Amino acid sequence: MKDSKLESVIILTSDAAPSFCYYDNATKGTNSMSVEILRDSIEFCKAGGYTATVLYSAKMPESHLNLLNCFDHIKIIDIDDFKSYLFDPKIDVLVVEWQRMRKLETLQREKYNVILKMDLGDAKHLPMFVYQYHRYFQRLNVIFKNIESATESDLNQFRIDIEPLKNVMFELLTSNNAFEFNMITDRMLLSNVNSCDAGIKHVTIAPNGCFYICPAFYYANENDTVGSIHTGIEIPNKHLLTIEYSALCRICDSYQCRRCVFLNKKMTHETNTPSHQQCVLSHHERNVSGILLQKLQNKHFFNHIKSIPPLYYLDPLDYYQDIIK
Amino acid sequence: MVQEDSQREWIKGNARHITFIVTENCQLRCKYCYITGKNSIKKMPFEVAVKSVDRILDMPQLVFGNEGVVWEFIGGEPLMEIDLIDRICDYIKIKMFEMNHPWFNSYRISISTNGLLYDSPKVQRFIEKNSKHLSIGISIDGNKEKHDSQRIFPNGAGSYDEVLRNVKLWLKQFPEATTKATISHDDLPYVKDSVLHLWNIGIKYVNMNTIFEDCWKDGDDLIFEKQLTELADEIIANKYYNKFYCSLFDRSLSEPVRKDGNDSNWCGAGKMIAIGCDGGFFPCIRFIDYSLNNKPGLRIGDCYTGIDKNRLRPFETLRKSTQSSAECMNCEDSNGCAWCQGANYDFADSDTIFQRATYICKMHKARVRANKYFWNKLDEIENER
Repeated sequence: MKDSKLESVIILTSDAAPSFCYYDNATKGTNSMSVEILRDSIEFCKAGGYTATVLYSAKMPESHLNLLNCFDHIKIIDIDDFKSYLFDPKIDVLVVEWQRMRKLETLQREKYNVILKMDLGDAKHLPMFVYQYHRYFQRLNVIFKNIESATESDLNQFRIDIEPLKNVMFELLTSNNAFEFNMITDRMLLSNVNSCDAGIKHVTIAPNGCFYICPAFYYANENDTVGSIHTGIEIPNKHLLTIEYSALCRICDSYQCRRCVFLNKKMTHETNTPSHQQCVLSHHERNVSGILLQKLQNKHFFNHIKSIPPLYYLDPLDYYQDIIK
Repeated sequence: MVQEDSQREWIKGNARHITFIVTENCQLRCKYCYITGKNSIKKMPFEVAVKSVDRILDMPQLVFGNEGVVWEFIGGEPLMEIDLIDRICDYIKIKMFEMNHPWFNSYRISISTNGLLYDSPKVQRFIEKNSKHLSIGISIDGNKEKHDSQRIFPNGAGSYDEVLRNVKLWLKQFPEATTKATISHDDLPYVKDSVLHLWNIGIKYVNMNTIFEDCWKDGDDLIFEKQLTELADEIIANKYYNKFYCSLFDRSLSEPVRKDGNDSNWCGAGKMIAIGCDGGFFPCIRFIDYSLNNKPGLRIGDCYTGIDKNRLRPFETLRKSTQSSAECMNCEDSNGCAWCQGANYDFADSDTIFQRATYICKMHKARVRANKYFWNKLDEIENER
């Protein structure tokens, strides 16, 4: 039966496909999806009218590519494998590890959707990186890989490290060099929470033919399945994935936060409860966005956008405890 | 009805509860006991207790906002390890003194026991030594029929006679003591007589509750209601409400649910800390592996690394509204409807604490009907005077 809220499906063609989010793909071997499962996955998408995002590995068999070539989908590809496949910069997505960010220079002069994965400690390089490489970006999503181990000191350093982004982005946004940047511009443009909505609007089919809430759940525990292409999707307590059932997220205005339910589960044991690190990180981003927006509006840019007021807290748990007293 | 007095009012309830699981062993095999993983292997080494005390006394976030501390000892059956408890208590007292700790002299020691070893010389020495700071609760479920139908030895024999012998000594030493009795399917027909019996043997404050597990059968709610209404008649006829307390009767249950209703959490899980035999920290005893049938233990830290604050965050946002179905939220009988967070976790369809188990629903509604009967009748009599 068609899931009324499900909009898209992520097809993970191989364990070795690039990680494009907060998970580590090194926990698995090199299992690849069989051509039969790929065919069934495509049929599942077509039957439900779901859009598909396909994670490509370095070497995709000819049989798989033949199937995929006849099927509209978004490709997610590691920058190292970029030249092996047909790539549409307007819709497809490149994954770039921070250590290999110079590979961006090998791209043609087009604008790309880039997911940059880096450690929190490397955030100090972001302002210069953005300034140097902005011409490659249609959209830049920065994913910090080691949020879970961040100390209070790390989080405070992050605040200091990203503060110069407001000046860099001011220059770019006021000089016809605008691009979407998850950490900075999303909060300015959003009027409600931009949840990832894993398990609600999208699910993942892994190489074994099973459904997972997202790829991260597959890599963390292969038994954590929520169905298969043959039996359908069954997510117990699915409502807990929605923002309405997250006491903290529903009162939060760090709208750019992706509300990663995998990180929530990993760090707090509950998909509906974000970690302290996630919340503080998102609020530092939010606050930089707020200062930048004010700076822009002082120069009469973006005057139609609602301002982002200062807050007295960095963790909405503090606010929650105040309002329930 | 008189109100429960007792130690609960100590510093107006503003105390941190720290629970040591000193052993997972017990002499009894009570049929309703949620601790299904009893064993004679796991005992808390003294070194683990020392590490735990050191860790807890050194955590400002635990101390801040709490005027005192209740050091609780539980099992299994804690009195089987009275020597260990004695050593731990001595260590706590010395450590708090050495640290000039805010909790020094603002502490209580609390033990929940089946009572079988209560009169042993070692236990009596411990009571004498700690009498000014000590509370002990003995579990006695009611009359012999009720108690022996549930609280049995491994050979099936009831424990009532052995416990009753010690209850007399206990009440002599702790005249204001309370008991916490448990109701399950098999012993429903004895509820009325059991409350009356407990009052009769001198326990003025009786806390009684139905278990949260999926044990209830069709018609149990009607038996329960009948037991409670008959008990209500006895209480009113004999004016027991002037002398005794029974938690089954609570005026709020007879009142309409407020639309801006109470959205607090019933349960203190996460505010207390239970320490397992291996030094693991848990939100309460009900989250330790030996208490769980369907889920792994849910740790929030341990005595070696401290508390993982992220693991406590879900407990900070637990409210009625964050874990209840629409049916529960809209229920007209929801005043006083309790839940156990650990049981919720154990019975949930997924690995979460945010799904409220509702096996007690019919039993609670029966209790609400009986409460309406009791309080209306009592008010009528009062008004006639």
